Amino acid sequence: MVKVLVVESDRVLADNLKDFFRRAGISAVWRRDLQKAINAVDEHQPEAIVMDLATGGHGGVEFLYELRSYPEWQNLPVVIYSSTPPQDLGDLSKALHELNVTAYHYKPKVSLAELTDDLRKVLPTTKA
Amino acid sequence: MSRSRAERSSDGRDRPALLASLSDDLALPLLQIKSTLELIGERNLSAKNNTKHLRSMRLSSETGLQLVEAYRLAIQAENTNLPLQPVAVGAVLQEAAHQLSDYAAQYKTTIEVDVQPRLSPVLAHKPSLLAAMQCLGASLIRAQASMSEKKKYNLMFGAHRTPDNVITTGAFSGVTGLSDKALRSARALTGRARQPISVLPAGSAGGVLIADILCAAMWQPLRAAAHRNMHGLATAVPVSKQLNLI
Repeated sequence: MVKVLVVESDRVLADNLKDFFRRAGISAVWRRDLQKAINAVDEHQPEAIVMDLATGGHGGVEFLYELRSYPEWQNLPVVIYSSTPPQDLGDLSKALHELNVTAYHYKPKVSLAELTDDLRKVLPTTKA
Repeated sequence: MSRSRAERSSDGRDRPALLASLSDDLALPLLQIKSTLELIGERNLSAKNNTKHLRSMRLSSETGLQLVEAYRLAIQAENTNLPLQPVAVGAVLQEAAHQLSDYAAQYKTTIEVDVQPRLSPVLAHKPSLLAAMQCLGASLIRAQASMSEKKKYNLMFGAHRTPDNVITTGAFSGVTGLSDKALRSARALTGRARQPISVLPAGSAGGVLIADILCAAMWQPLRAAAHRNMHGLATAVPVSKQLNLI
């Protein structure tokens, strides 16, 4: 089963994401804290990261800068699943592009099924 | 400070902030319901999981409705003077804790109520005080669960009389720094209708702002405070000598 790291601050949403991914044949490790998420990437070696930009006390963009500073994680697929509407990102859009973000999904406008389909595109092999 | 808030409210400048905070805070329970509905729609869901998901949706919808009620009261506070009456703070805190207990359990949080014995009643608008404490409590529950990784959390509703004869009441958390961040994030909403990347996770700052507005309309805005070695946000209520006789 392929593994992804979910970085989501809300427990209920994170539980739902993990459940949905598991049924789609994707194992998920959940971290709500971005510093611990960095450690989790090292520990669990996920095939991709699904993350919100706004998590408790830290900015997701800073997390991405740190992640991309390590050569082995520069091409690790990152899918943003965010509460921030894309039109409100402003200059962050350019930063996300430079940080090699694979896809940006606005939570109210995407279903878990669509998110999972998009995630499958960047995962090596996923058993449905 | 209370007056400046009232002045801002009276000319409607807080309205965009209130609307923005309400939309942010309502988005979270709706997203929870939306994603849970997708899970329920999956095949082969056990009866146990089905019950769990239905309960989760009930809690999310109740949280959203509580927020709408608090918002309605905040708008009322903007436009009229709230009718104040003698209220026992301890009873209101107990009621807020009771109503939030299932929601708190979802976030692995235990709520305690700690009220100094023999506190005199205060002049308050009871529905606003209850709504403020519910909003504040729910926001801190979500915020502390998202800002630190623990197996369980505590939230305390507390009230005590200070040496200068003022009753302080509010919600308190064991997570260091949470109260300052919560208040800064909430008040930042007043300056900006949109806050793309907030310090608090989505759905937390707006509840604090609404609680802040409701408390300011009755007494004083929220401020960082401590209670039994826990840090949180509280409002200060002047004790009425006449109410001491009640």
